[in-house]
Amino acid sequence: MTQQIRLTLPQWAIDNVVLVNERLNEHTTIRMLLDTGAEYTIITPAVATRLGAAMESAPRVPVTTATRREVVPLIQVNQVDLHGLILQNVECAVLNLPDVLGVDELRGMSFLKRCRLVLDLPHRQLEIETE
Amino acid sequence: MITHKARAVMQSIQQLSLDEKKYILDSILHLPEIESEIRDLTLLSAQFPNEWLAISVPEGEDHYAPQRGRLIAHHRERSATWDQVMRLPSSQDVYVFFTGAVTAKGFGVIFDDATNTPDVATVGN
Repeated sequence: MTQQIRLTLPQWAIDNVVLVNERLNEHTTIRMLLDTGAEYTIITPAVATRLGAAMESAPRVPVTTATRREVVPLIQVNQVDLHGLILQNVECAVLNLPDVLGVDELRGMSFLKRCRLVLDLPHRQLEIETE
Repeated sequence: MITHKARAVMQSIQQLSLDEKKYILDSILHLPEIESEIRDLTLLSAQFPNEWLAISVPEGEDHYAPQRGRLIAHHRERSATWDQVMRLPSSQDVYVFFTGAVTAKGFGVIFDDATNTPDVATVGN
């Protein structure tokens, strides 16, 4: 089933990067940063815990951050709801993000590769379509 | 002037248990506070600049872009705010966001794939 959303992004959402609010597992709304350069979606351990993810038993994926190399859990978020566009079982790596980043999630290609994405920054328009 | 209705309510209350009376008393005492808890998020953001805010989203708000909410926690450190959120039931609608500018420059993550050829995920410059 094709799903499509078209959003007018608020000014705060496109100052330096592109931010979008999204709801995870129906009850947790956070701001995510659209990151086409990231292979996986990254969420913080706090968000994963709030979503009830079983991180101890999750498979691991090796990552290297600016400061060190580590192996982090790779979990499945049951439901990602982007303004009514809903995807189930979205893979997310769990990694601490610096506070200065100002977001709890980097939405990477593990999600975006399932979407047709149109970003019109001068008009603050974001269009996402999935099949 | 004490009305008949008020007297009837008092008589009903007198029949309640101590815990029930305490609950009613607490509710009445905190009524103005509960009503004033719902705040405009723009004002909250101005009041707590560069902080992580956790908001309880009230009924009727747009859950994707709430304009108003009850402040659950605010702190300069993300973890302190999320610590408060963890105490809430997972079924309660919560919105967590940072009130400052998002500064992604210089942050990078590398994912090491199976062939040891890293895919680089870099945000900003």
